[in-house]
This record gives sequence, C-alpha cells and structure tokens, in this order.
Amino acid sequence: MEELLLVTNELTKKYKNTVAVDNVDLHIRKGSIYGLIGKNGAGKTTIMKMLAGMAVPTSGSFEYVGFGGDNDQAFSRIGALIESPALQPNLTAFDNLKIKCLAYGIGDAEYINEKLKLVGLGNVGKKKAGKFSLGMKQRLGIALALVGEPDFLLLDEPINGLDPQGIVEIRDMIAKLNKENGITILISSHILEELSKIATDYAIINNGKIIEESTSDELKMKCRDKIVIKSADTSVILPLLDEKGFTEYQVIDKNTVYVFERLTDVSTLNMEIAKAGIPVDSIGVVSSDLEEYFLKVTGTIAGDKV
Amino acid sequence: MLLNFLKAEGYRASKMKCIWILPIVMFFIVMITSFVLLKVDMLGMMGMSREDMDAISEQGASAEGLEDSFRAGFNAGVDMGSDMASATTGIEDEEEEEEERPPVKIVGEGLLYREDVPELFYQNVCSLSNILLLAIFTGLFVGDVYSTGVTKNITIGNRKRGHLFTARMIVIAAYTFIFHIITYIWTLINVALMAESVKLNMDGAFFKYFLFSWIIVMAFCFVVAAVTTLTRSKAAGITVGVILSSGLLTMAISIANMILVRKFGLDSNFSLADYTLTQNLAVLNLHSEGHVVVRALMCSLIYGGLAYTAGLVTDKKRDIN
Ligand SMILES: Nc1ncnc2c1ncn2[C@@H]1O[C@H](COP(=O)(O)OP(=O)(O)OP(=O)(O)O)[C@@H](O)[C@H]1O
Ligand SMILES: [Mg+2]
Repeated sequence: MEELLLVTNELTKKYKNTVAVDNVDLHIRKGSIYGLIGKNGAGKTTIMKMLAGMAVPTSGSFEYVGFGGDNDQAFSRIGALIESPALQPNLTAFDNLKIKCLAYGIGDAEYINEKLKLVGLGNVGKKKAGKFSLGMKQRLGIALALVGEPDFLLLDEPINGLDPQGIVEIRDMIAKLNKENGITILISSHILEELSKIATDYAIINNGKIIEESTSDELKMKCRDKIVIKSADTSVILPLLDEKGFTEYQVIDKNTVYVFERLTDVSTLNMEIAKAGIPVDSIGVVSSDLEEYFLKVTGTIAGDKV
Repeated sequence: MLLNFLKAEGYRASKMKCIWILPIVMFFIVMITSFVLLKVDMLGMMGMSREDMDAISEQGASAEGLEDSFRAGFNAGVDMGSDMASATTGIEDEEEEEEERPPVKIVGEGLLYREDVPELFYQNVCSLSNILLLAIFTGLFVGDVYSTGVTKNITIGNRKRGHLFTARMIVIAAYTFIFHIITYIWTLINVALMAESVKLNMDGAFFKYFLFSWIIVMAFCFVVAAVTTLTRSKAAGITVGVILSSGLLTMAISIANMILVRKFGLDSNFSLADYTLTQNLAVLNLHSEGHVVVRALMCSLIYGGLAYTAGLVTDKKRDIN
C-alpha cells in the first residue's frame, strides 16, 4: 500500500442549519493529485478550509500522517488557494507576494519574480492587483499559494475564470509541480472531465457526503460502456435480470435501466425480455463519458435500488 | 514568528495611503487650533490688552482691578483713536464718535501667545481630533484584513493567528506613537510661525504628559481595533471610533450616571464620564495630580487590555472566511 499523506476521519462541519460536510473520510496518497468533485454547495470549499486550519471541524478529525501527524507542524508545509484569492487591491502583484514572504521570513525580490514568472505574471509591472482581470487574480492567488515551497497544495477551483489557454497552462503547471517537485495536490472542481486530465484520485462529493472515492483507473472502469434498456415499466424487468444472473445494473428512473456487464449479450437479453412478454421501447449498448457519470452519481438518479 | 508577522503587517500598513493623508489633515487641524489660541486676540475683541490681563491677575481679579483694567482698555482705545486722528486730518468728526468705542481687533496676541510648546501640544491632544483620525486609520487597517481576507494567505494554522493579531496591535501602537510625535512636530512648526517665541520646555512634566496621553490614545485605538475585529467591518470600527471621540455619547453617559447615582446611592460627585478614555484624555494635562494620572492609566490598561484580549480570542477561535 502506498504511503498516505492525509486521512480524514468522519470529518464534519455544521453551520446553523446546514450540514456542509457530513462524515467525510478521505485518503490522500503522497504524491497524488487528488480531485474533489461536486456541484455548487457540495462542501468542497468547506473541506479544504478545515484541512488548511481555517475552519474548525464540528466533529471528526484529520491527520497529516505523512507529515508525522502533528497538524500544527503540517500547516507550515501547506499552501492553499481557497475560494477567491486574498489580494490587497491597492498593491502590485509583487507587493502582494512580498507581504506573504515577509510573514514567512523568506525570499528576496528574485524569489518573488520567479514565482510571478511561474504563473505567467512575469510582466505585469506596477499594475495594482485591484485592476487585474479575473484570470490574472487567479494566477496571483496560485503564486501566493506557492510561496514557502509547500509539500501539499490545496487548490480550490484554480481554473476558475481562466481562458482556454490559461487552463492548459495552469494544468501543465500543476502537473509539473506534482511530478518535478513532488508536491501532493488537492484540487477541486465542478468539472470531472477537466480534472480527469491530471487527477490520479477522486472523491465525488454531494450534499456534504462522499459518494465515492476512487482512483483514476477505477473511475474509468465505472464509466465504461453499458446496455441501456428503456421500457414503460422497468420494475418488471429487474426480476428477469436477477434470474439471468446480472448483478451490475442500475435503475436510472421508472423507464430506464443500465446494465454494465456482458455487453455482448445484448441480443440474448433482448430476446429474454420479449419472451417474458415485457414491451421494450429500446435496448442497446451505449458508451458514456465522465461527465455523464458524474451527473448520474450526484443527481437524483442514485445508483442504489430505491 | 512574531517578528516576521510584524514585518508583514508593518509593510501592509506602510502601503496604506491614509498613513500619509491623516498627518496632513492633522496639520491643518493643528494649524487652526494654534491660530485660534495664538493669533485670535480674544482680549482685544473685548477691548483689553495683555497688560490689563496681567494686571487683573496681579490684583487678584478684584472688582477694583477689573475696573482699572477696563479703564485702561478704554484709554488704550482713546490713544489709538487719537493716533489715527493725527494721521488722518479732515475726518475729525467721525473720529470723535469713534473715541467712545474702542476698535475691535481680531488678529493679534492670542490667549496662549506667550505659552510654551508643551502647552500647545496639550491643547492639540486634549481636543481629541488626533484620536478621531487614528480611529479612521485603525478601522481601515484592521478592516482590510476582513475585506481582503489577507489572513488566509499568511496564517494557515490556528497556532499562529494569535501572533498575527498581536503583530497587528503592535503596528497600531507604533503608528499612534509616530502620530503623537507628528502632532508634536506640527505643534512646534505652528508655534514657531505664530507664537511670540519657541519655548521648548522639554521638562519631566512634558515627557510624562507625552507618554501618558499616548497610552490613552493607544488604548482607544485598541478598542476600535477590537470592534473592527469582532464585527469584521471597517465601517463599524470607524463609526464607533468617531462616535466615541466626538462626544456623541456624552448624553447617554450622563443619563447612565444619573441612574447610577439615584438608584445605587453612589456619591453624587461620582461621574461615569471620568471612566471613559476620551474624558481621561480631555482631562489629563501637564500638571495633572497623581490620582488623575493613575485613573487615566488604569482606564487605559483596563480598556486596552480587554480590547486586546477580546480581539485576540475571537480572532483565534473564529473560522477565517
Ligand atoms: N460560513 C458559512 N456559514 C453558513 N453556511 C455556510 C458557510 N460556508 C459554507 N456554508 C454552506 O455550506 C455548504 C457547502 O458550501 P461550500 O462552500 O463548501 O460548497 P462548495 O462545494 O465549495 O461550492 P462551490 O462549488 O459553489 O464553491 C453550502 O450549503 C453553504 O451554504
Ligand atoms: Mg467552493
């Protein structure tokens, strides 16, 4: 088993009348790029805030096992861009970085310029951060997170507001930081497709709960092709599937069933259903993409038999 | 750690425009105050001269003395009238009427024309305009933390948040001290421009007053900082600072005072206002008696200490947004 950097144990955060994060167990491997995927309000930011020591968990705990378990020590080894970047609008990019460098007691002008160059802000000069475009602010936020050479980087929707070229640049940068500097990265997004290009592990989160935690390979397995059966009433089809030995199927809604195994048996299955006298609107093999998978698991169309 | 945070917060403060603007505003306030005290001839406006005033104090302000000095003032007016009459012949008729009323002088020797620099400095501090300006600085400086979320860049662990808050308060203390010195320099410049002569008189009384008044000012700013921290709002901090320093609360305090005296049978000499920072700053002077100084210092210690603790505890316990 690979070495873990961070584990959370029933991590929970309650606000007055919302449970923002509900008994979350994450297992983040050292050297991984861990993607946290969820819709708006799923609880991604709240998880990250707790892991960065910005918010105190209502119950549960987390432990930076890879850093020796002392969270206080660990905090000094993490960098974070959580929600919008915290910038002083009246200061230049350089001065914004300088404040953090002074607080950390590190770095000189050269160090700061290096960080600016790294995120593509090498030539902003004396422009005030308040006058930056959304993407420029985001880049400066990433530069701030990188000050102090963290071993663990928390990036909350880092590609927010970036142009397509910027997305590629930042993605490449994240991959590079991970590979070359060995930084473990926790990154959140709404878009599974986007994360899938770099992430090695995933947690899909919905309404504060982890729906599933998997590696990139496992996830790709799950997004494999499937048989889609459409019928006026699928409930009568299910006993038949059980009888024929199908176990990996999902009722999507009243009219739809997905079958994930024995895809080549589609014609046989079709015949069996017809033999049983059940009218079928359509049946066939369909391949799905990640996004669809994500929508499916986070939507009302839960995988469990209701 | 604390030293690093101190550098970071100091740097942040140094980049604020208001640290330059407020001293400029203060210069004009000091100039106006000094002009009124040094150049507006209050006595002259009553037709009296400095000598008459001295005469009054010498004679113990007896009825006789007052009478004398009014006569003297009247004579002075007569003298002046005749001077003018001799200079301008041909309008004697009008001059004769003028002889009855001495001419009104506005600009001349002010009440404190012959006083020393410490006295003027005291006048500028006890007028409370410095704490009004410093409340604005404190509100902006602390409020920026919450409006920009800068904390989340520079402290991630709870462990260090207390240091950051302490560093912030030290920067506030330092700026109030610098501002106190600036107020002194502005006073010095205006005295040099408008008073009879520059009497520095840097004696023990002056240094004590400088130190004690600064402590009160600092405690006041700590209170503003605490309010800003608790509410996470610049506006709230500045508003409270302005209300406290502009005496808008005086009415409420005197009502509370009345209630205390009536209901709890406190000594009728008891004055609640004596226990506010602003009142202490207004009352403290270069020759304050020991108990006034002690009261001022105790109030500063209690208010400043409470404000610091309240701010520190909330800032440490609360989630960063
Ligand atoms: N300070 C707070 N007070 C009260 N409720 C909060 C607070 N912060 C977050 N919440 C609630 O917690 C839930 C999760 O919010 P969170 O910001 O973690 O979602 P998110 O997954 O980051 O969403 P998004 O994709 O929109 O950024 C939401 O219902 C939100 O309203
Ligand atoms: Mg979020």
